[in-house]
Amino acid sequence: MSATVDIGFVALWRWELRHVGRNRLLWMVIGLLGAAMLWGALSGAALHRSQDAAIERSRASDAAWTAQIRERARRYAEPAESEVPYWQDPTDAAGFSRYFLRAHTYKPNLPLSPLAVGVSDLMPGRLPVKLETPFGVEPVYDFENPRGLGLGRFDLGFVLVYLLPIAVVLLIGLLATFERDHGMLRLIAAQRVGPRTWLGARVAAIVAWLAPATLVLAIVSLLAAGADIAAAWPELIASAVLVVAYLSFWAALGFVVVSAWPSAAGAISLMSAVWALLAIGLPLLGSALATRLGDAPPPVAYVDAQRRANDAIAEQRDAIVAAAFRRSSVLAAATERVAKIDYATRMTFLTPELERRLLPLRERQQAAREWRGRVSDWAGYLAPPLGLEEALAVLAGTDAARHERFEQQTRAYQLRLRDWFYPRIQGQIAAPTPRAVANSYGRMNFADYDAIPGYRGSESPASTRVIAVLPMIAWLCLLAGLLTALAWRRLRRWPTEL
Amino acid sequence: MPSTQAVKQRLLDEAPAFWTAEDAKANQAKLLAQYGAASKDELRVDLRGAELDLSERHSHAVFDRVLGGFYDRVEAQDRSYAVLGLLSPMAAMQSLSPALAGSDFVHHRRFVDGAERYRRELVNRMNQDVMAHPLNGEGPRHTNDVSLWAQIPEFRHRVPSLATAWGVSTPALLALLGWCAAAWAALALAARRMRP
Repeated sequence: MSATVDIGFVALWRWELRHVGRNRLLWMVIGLLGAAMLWGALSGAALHRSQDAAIERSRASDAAWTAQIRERARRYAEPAESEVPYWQDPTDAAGFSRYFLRAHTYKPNLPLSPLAVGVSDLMPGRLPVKLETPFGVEPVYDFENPRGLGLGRFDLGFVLVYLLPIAVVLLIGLLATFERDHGMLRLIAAQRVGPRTWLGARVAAIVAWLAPATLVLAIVSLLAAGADIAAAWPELIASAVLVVAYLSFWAALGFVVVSAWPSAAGAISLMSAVWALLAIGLPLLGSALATRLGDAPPPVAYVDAQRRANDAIAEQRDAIVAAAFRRSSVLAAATERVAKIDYATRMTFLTPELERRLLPLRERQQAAREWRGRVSDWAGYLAPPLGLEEALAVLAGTDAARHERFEQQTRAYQLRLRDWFYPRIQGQIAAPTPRAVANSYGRMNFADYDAIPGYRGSESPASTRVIAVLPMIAWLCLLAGLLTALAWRRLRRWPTEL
Repeated sequence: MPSTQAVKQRLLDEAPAFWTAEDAKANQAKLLAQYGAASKDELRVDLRGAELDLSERHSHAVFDRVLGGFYDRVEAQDRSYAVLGLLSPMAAMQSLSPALAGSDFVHHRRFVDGAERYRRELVNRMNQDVMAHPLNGEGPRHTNDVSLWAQIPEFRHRVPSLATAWGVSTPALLALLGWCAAAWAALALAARRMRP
């Protein structure tokens, strides 16, 4: 039976487009997909709204705290019978820096954040900054029900990554095998149409309905969730291209499967198995391997090392502080005061020493983290669902890399605060500020509340996020092209067992 | 459920890590009245130790009220989820399996509560020792030796028995049994309808 190609692809595709468009299954699948997208987008947006509200509450709380301190500082300037202890004195530079300073860094969600929750439900969007915290980042997290975390979050990203392929599997598995299952393939093969044109037009018609419907539903869901898509149109366009490329990959995979002329049950079973492998099996395997990669000390070992270093430093504290005094041109002549300085002032010398001792362990942790990050990036190319998940998180601004940049900025801010506070605190050792009122309740050597450096987080431009996902778009398009070529090659002639 | 930030803020507001000078004065007056002393020199306990003890016991009450209430809500969520097992056997299994493995929140909370009880006993014992050696600003700092530390046994976590940690997952077990019975009934019905 030779393949005749008198009926053109475009003409048949137009016919298939009308035919598929009248199919109830298509609209049922699109309807369910739309409902899932809406629910997912609303769920992600609700989480992010609560996080942004928490940031605002934190800012307001810090502002109220600062106002209270100013009021107290005014009262402490008055004469009193005794002096307030330094740890209760916001007018003392050392006391303020350790017991009163409330500073936070913030990572507000980006306009397109409802697109994917990413790691935003695990990584905190605000970090307290204390001068003493080794390497700047407090190990804080927002508690969530562990059962909920174990189940994962149902967000728009989940629908696009995991449910959209199931929609493709169902539609191609049922609609592209109908004639074969009903014994009509022989009849079609007798017409003036080749298998490539016939099956290709059917699959292309399914994609032609599903792709725009997915994009429209995703945009409607984002709008309903309150996403400011006008403020993030480059990311929105990139995510649309990304989703179409991903859908094309699954459609091409389905095209390869149905090019073997299986039954509907066979096609759906095979495609479901591939879906399970790519969406569940490979990511789980990759995760298990990634945890064994790198030379990262376990968190307990890090805590233990920190405790040991703290104990050792406590034993040597006066020697460490004396050495720091001798290195300083201002303090070299005041070494007799080493044992008399208060705890907060002493910590300005001991904290850098603690960091110096923990640095090798910290570098091992960082190296292992970077290594795992690279493996995770490459795993996305091996398992496209993982790749899309990461790419959507990048566009939404909920990815691990953005959080890492946030942590780096937090560390930079902490160092800026230290650079600002340490000279003021240490300056009081050799040359204490004279009190305006001799017997004031407070020490009155610190009143620069307005001059304390504030956190100014910088954000990468939209173009950086878009450029970051271009390789994944190209990879998905390449895979889709290769799979389509493979299916095309297998469809040279009608099957002989018709 | 309140957000973590709201819980932390309440803890910070109701049990701050450090007293203000005004709070310290008010609490000192309270302690002097409690011990019937006109000044700290007349106190039969160490004032600093008594302050630490007062602060700790106050924070314990706040933690029990705020954090305890928060954890109660987490358990209530898990209980609701276990009831969802009536609609889905998967939900029933997701509640049951961690309960049986001892990795659900109920087990975790028992561990957290046990650790917190241990911490409180340790802190209270240390504060009592400081209080029992009044210096009140005079004399060298009070220190103690192994005789004090030996009074605090090593922390040992007792895994709760299945019977005590079972409550939250009971609806899931009942639901799963219901699903099982329904499946057997459906199987029996289908088998009866089959004709050779």
